[in-house]
Amino acid sequence: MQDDAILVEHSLRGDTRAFDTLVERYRDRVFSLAFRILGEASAAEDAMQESFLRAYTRLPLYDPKQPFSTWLLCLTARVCLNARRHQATEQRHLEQAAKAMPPAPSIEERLYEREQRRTLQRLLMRLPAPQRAAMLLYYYEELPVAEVARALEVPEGTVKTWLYRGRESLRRWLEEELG
Amino acid sequence: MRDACKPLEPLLHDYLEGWLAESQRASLLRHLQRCAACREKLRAWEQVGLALRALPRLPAPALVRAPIADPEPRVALRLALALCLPAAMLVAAYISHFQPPALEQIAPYAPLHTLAERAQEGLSLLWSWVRGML
Ligand SMILES: [Zn+2]
Repeated sequence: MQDDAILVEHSLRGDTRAFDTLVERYRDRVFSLAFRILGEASAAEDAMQESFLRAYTRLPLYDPKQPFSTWLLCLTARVCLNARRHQATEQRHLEQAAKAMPPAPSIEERLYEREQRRTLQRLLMRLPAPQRAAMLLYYYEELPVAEVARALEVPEGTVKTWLYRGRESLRRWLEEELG
Repeated sequence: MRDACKPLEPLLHDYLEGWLAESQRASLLRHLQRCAACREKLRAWEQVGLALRALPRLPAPALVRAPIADPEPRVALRLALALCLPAAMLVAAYISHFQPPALEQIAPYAPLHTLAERAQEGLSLLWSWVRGML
């Protein structure tokens, strides 16, 4: 498998197939993150398109010292937060989140676990969007706090506070829901 | 008890994530030793973190094509050349002879398979460009 850095270099020289390979490699991750932030499959699909388009047009700005995946996922989070600003109907998304969830990848997945994950996704949607994005970049994508802060354009201390508050809110809500 | 612990919560979270300064660590550990509520909270937060990490990755719907857009007009020019030049050459050759040109007449300029390839390339470029604009 070719290194991301090499594929980026080839893309920059105009090799569109190299960029296609990067898209193929990351589309599930980009889509999943977008879905977790936006809570809706069609919105996530739009965000995925937009993210790859932006990644391509801004590729000359990418600093190879940072992993390509980090750069791409941070960019995706920003696209999602921008997209959300244009949505006037957050309340609708909030409760539709669970229903809109695409089928889970493994069919043999236990019904109970699936229900829990849907609950978690639904509760995530209750958090303020920037807090949710921070939670997902940090816990779900396991990016360092410094990168999350840079992506969301807030100080690291703010990210740490969001992570604590988000985690505590989820704990409380989960306890209320699951008993 | 719980109310008294509330101001400690951010520190507790820092501790869990390994961000707590060494100077604050000892006193927090002492508190943890005698406070079951805080220990329970740590355990619950850990579960939340694990649950978030365990959220499944979802299969992305198929992209029609990688949304590659090159806003530079040079692409359009290259495209026009790739598509129109060979066609113009064929037409010119046809008109000048009033009959279909023999393969070997085109060959010096562009073998047929190259023409087909370039047209294909042009079309896929055009397609990705249009997708990107949408
Ligand atoms: Zn305590």
